Amino acid sequence: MRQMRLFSSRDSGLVSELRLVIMVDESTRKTLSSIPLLSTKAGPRDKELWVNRLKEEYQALIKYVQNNKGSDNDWFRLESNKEGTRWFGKCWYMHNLLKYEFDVEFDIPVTYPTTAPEIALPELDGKTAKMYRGGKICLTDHFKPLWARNVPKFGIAHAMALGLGPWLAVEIPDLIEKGVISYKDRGDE
Amino acid sequence: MTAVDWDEVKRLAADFQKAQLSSTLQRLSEHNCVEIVTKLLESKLLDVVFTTDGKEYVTPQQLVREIKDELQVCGGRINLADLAKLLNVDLSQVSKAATDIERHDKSVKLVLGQLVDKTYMTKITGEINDRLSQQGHVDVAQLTLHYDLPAEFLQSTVERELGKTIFGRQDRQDPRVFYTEGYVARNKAKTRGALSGITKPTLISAILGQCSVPERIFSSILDNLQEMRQVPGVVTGKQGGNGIYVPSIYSKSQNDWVDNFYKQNGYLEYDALSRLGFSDPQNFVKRHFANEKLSLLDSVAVGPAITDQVDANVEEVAATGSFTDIYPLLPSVFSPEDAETLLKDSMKRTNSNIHVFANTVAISDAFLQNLVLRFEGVAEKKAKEAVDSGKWLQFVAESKIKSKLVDPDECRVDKREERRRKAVGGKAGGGSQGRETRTKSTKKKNYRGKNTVDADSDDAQESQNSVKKEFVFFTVDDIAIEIGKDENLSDIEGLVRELASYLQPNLSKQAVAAAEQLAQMTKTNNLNVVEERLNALATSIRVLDKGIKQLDKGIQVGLTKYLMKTLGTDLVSDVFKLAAQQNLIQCPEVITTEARLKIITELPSDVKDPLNNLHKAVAGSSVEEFLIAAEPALAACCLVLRKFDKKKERPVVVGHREALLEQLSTTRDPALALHLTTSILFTATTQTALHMSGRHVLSVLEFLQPLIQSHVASTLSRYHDLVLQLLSSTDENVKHEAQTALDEGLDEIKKIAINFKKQLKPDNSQD
Repeated sequence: MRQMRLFSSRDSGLVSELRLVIMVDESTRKTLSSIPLLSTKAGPRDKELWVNRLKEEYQALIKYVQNNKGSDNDWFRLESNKEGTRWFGKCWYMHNLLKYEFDVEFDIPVTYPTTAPEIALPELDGKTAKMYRGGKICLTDHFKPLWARNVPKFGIAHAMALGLGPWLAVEIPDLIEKGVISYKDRGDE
Repeated sequence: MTAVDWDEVKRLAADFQKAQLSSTLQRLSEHNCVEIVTKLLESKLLDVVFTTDGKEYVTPQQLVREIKDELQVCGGRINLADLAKLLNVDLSQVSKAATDIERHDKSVKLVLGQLVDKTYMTKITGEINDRLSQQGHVDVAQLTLHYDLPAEFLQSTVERELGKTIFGRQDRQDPRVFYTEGYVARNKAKTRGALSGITKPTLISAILGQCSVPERIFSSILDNLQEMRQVPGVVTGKQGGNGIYVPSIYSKSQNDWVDNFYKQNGYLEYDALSRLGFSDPQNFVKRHFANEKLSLLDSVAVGPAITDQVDANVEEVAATGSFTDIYPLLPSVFSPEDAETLLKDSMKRTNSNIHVFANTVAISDAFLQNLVLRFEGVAEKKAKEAVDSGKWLQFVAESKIKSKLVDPDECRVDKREERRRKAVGGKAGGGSQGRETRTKSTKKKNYRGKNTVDADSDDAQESQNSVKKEFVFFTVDDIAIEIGKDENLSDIEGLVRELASYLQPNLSKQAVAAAEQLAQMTKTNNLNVVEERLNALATSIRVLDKGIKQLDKGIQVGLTKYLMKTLGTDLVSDVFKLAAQQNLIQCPEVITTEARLKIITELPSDVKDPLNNLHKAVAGSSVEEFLIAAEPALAACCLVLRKFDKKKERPVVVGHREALLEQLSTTRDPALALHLTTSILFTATTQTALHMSGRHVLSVLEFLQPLIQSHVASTLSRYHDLVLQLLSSTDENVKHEAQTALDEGLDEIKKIAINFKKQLKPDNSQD
């Protein structure tokens, strides 16, 4: 709900990261600030620079995951192809002591990092209105300008933290409540 | 370059995977944790113990382990409270864990909120042993103080370790005390030495103080020694410092002395025994001479040797009817009281009839009776004297008055009042008034003594009265002097006096009885005499009244009054005296009108009225009335006024005349002579007697005038004139002349009187 408030805020004229950070709640601010910012502005096509960028992406992700684990907030698994252009894995959400797990995938757009990646949960395709075809989650209006303002500082880790995380927090309880999704016992998890 | 970069990317990807796959630290928020644990505890899935600050949980196993560790650290003994503080765990949990430990671990004990383990026990037993060997004795109480452990725990510990690590032995009487053998032996030796050395009875505490043997060990040592027969003596009294150790050598010599003394002297003096150290000589004697027949007196115990002697003396006294003082026969230590007791005992034994005087003197009954006999005569004499002298009556009357004075104060007892009245009224004639009164008073005393306490003061008063009432015939001194004449008796100090006071009441009683008897006798005599006299008086009054009636009416009144005033008053006075005497009222010698009135008020009512009437009648002028009043008055005094006997009239008249003649023959007084002559002539003429005063002489002469010969009449009238002249004249010469004339005429007058028959005119003479 806190994230909801963040994204539904009428104050769309946030200009600075600082301001944004101030606007979000304490835990999100902490999360964000603990993810290292990236510096290389390069897309998959930029051959060498992309490698740098990818390195930074990995470092940020490692840090983010470490942070998450450190705060007992591990909520996804990601891996990429060799080139680091396609990412896939799992994400999960705990609701009422039940773990709801979904596959997650996305491609790095060619125009990355100017364009944010479009994270998709194919399992939920057609189950909620806040989703584009193909299971791409429908990010709020705030995400894009925020991202745009923070090119190239934001990376995959940021997209996960600011995009998928809040979306899950808002949508999954709603979907569970509607009975659209139900708990599947996956003992191995 | 690129390859290197890609490698790096690969490495990073791998790192990322590693990071993702590394186990998540399952962090829970604090209150979540608390809730989870609470939940677990609730569902009994988890058993943990909270720390006091609530920040940590400890499993019981951990707690137990930690407690054991702490115990180890602290040298085998730790307070649970300290543990709770150290481990930061609630005391209740700690104590629970501690009891758990105690249950499961044999080597650990929970004592008084403290955990104690075996090492510690070993340590303290070692310490105790050291202490014991150092000091020779150890007291659990001391240990308790020293180790701050409960006495029972220490007790059991020490007892368990006795002979293992603690080398000593337990006191048999006080299991809380332990000694080393050496210590015991040392003290035993000391005690044995001391006890053997003592020759006099000694306080145990003194012995203990002297040889510094602790008291608590002493008794066990003493028992031990006594068992081994190494104590030459006995300990008397309570166990402890108050007891007295009496060496047998001492008691033996004591007993020897007692036996010897008794054997030699036949008696034992308590004082001597207590000087020897017997605390209760009387009981000692009883115990020691259980087989001997000892008489236990106040200050001595006497054996048969002496009692036999006394018995013999007593028997002799009884047999010979004499007396003896046993005091010289007894050893000098005997007190007179002892002698008395001895005598009384002996009296009982021998059944002899003796009395004990002055504590030591035995007097036989026969002897006493002799003494009494000697006094009987004296008693009677004294009684007679008392009665004759009137003291007795006076005393009786006085005591009566006194009791009357007392009576109003105590008239609350009606019964007594009644009894008094009965005594007064019913026995008015009896002579035993005095006795009656006294008996009454003693009765009263008994009666009241039994019932009332508040009457004590009255009693005292009464007894005082009765003491006063007792008529003293003999004083103790009198008797003492009399007895003292016997030298044998007077030699013994105090005996005479005691005998006297013993005899005195008896003798007094005898004397009183005698006096009463005598008094009664004289009283009845008196009564008869009085009756006679009163009757004579009454007869005279009647006769004289008759004489008066011969005269003219005018003279009659005066004469009657005179008669009443003289003879009538005499009669009344006698009656009142008698009544007063009978009713024990004090009355003066001469009874005046006032005295009469006073007596009347004091008389009891049954006597009062007749006497009052009589009193009034005598003031009146009618002889008849007076006599009528006299009759009941006399009756009230138990007398009878006899009926007038005509036969007696003549002798009375004759007697009267004879008396007059006799009086006349002796008198030289002309007036009296004339008076008498006139009376004689009157008697002669009228054959009645006349009682008159000088004033009536003239009128009587006038009455006689016609009856006697004229020359006699003229002689008499002349003589009468002369008498008048003598009495009324103021001139000495005239008086003298008249006197001579009268003296001359006296013989003539007398002659007239003597020859009274011739003087009468023959025609008028009566039969």
